[in-house]
Amino acid sequence: MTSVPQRVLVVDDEPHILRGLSASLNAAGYQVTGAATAEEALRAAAMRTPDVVVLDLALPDASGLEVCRRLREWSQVPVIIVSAHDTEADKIAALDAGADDYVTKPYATGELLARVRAVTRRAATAAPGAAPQVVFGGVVVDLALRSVTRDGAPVRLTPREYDLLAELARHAGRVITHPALLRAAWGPGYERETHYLRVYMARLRGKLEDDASDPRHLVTEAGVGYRLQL
Amino acid sequence: MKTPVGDPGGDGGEAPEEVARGASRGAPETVWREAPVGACELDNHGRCRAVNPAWSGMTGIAADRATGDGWMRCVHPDDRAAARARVAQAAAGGSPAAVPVRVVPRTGGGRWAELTVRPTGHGAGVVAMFVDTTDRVRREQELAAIAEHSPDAVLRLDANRRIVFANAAQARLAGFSPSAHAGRTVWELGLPEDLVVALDAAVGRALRTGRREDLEFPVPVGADSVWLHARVVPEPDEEGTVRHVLLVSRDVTERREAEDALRARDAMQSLLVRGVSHEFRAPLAAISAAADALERVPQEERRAELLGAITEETARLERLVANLLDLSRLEGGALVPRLDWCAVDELVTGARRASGVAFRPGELEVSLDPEHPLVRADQVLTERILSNLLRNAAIHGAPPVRVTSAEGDGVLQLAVEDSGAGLPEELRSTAFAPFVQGAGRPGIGVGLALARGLAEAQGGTLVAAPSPGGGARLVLSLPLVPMPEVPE
Repeated sequence: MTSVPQRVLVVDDEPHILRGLSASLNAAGYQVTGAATAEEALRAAAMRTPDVVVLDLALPDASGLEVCRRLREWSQVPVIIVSAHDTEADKIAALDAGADDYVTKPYATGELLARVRAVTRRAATAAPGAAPQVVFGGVVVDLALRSVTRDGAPVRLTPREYDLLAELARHAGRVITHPALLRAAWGPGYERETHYLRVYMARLRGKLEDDASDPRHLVTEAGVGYRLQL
Repeated sequence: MKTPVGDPGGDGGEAPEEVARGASRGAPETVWREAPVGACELDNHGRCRAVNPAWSGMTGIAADRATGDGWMRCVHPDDRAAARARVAQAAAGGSPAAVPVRVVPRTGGGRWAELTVRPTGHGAGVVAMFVDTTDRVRREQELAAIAEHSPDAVLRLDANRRIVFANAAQARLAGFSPSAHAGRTVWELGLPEDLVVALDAAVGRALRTGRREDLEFPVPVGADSVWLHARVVPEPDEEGTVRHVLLVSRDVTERREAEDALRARDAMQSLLVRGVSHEFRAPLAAISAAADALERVPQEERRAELLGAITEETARLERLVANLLDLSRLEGGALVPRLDWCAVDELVTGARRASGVAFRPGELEVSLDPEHPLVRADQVLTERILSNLLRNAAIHGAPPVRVTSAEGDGVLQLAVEDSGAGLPEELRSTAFAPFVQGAGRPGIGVGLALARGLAEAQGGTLVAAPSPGGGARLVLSLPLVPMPEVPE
């Protein structure tokens, strides 16, 4: 962690949630600004230039989705969306609107802290000229050489398997939606063929996970997409 | 005074003042003269000797024109044979039943009469009595016209509680024709005895008091039974005497069933509210007690325990709320499954994470066939079904919990089985209703009700099956559909 405390903007219209979350983030060493409305959130984002935004989708004056879109017009600040458990469509829309990640209400604070850490670390390492290698478990994905090794030994992947893995690796830690993955590996026009993904993810897990039936890295996000967990 | 039939009397429609009659008449003179019944005195060959004023009034035939066969001119040609037959029977000493005849008055128009012929008792002829029934017959014809196409079953009963009219709906209900109803009583309709007693009593009361009666009862129709609402409507005549009642029966099965469903729904709702309150109260009490204790307990170790309890109970409340919301969205039709291709192992892995149950090593055995095809299901909903099953197995059953899969009959089956005492036999069918609780067991809550609802919403099923190991075994079946090809 950097020596300067990182700034987190928490947007939620529930005062108790705002207070509880702020306390937990403070305790974890973050500097917290709270906002209860979309308008406050956008103003705070401009004034205080936070390092990460935790954004509830249900706000009294405008949807969190709208906040995310407006934010993206001028800022690349990582955004974590908070949404109710039954709204997969909202999550997909939020990711499409430029959000980096989401947590589902109700969530454990520990889970949210982990997501905050992950996106801030990614923002720090995703600088231009970042190492073209992504490492997880014993696996090294070399994005420049288009090669994959596991415990030092080369892993044979078909071109499609590699394209799929590379798309996940380029955005390691982030949820990539089904259509985005299908576009990256098969091209435009294949966005609805989710069964391709099910079959190919099973093959990738078989080749890269220690226990394919209990994957640690190639993680399913139900109803939304996949994530490469480092 | 007596006037011979041959005497000139009124002509046309006018009744003669005096009517000739036989010398040996035993009945009081006034009855003959004043009775509202038209009477003809005939010899044993049917030749008229005398008529009374009422008869002339009814037929428009003067007394002197009625003599001999003249009286028969008032009877419609088609009904004359029946009338003659009655006369012959009475002349032979019999008492033939009354016969309805049409009377054709000289003045035009038509009337109905009931003809009764009786021997005079002196062996010297018969008396033919015409009772004007026009009003009654007209009313019956009107009733028949109105009731013919009525969906309600209509019966008309006379003062002797005998049926004089039945419509087509009544015939369908009873299973025999309207005419076969005539003369029967309600005892002869093939209805259950206790029902007939009530119906007959209601008819009797309506005849006696002139007040309407209502009753509702089930009637067996074939293998089924329908609910009838019967209304007994008294029909007072001009003098206000009730001589007939109408028995109008309406099929109210639909309404009764809707009411029953409503009552069941009300009962279910209050059960739901009680169940919800109960399920909420336990974690709330635990949280409240732990928060209370935090203010008084200084030991760090104890405080950490209390905080842990608060977190755990809060998670329980959150799951309960999520399940309740899903259940209400499901029942309100707001939950529309998003069917997609799902891999069975991903469903189970997701469910395990979503269940929030921290299985220790060996407590959860998952054995899935990696060769299973993809299933067409809503990934999120299916994970929720399985996570509810896993949580139930962990809380109400005992480890190890096994998750197995099988293919067959066009479905893919996922079974979650625990090693506890199993679902009691009496709970196997009711466990899927919200908030059913086993005796001395913690509440199952809405988990199973929701899981089944979610399964059915996406074309699957969820059943409790007997387990060879004795524990509870819940089987989720999802339809298998051919998967499109995946290019290499």
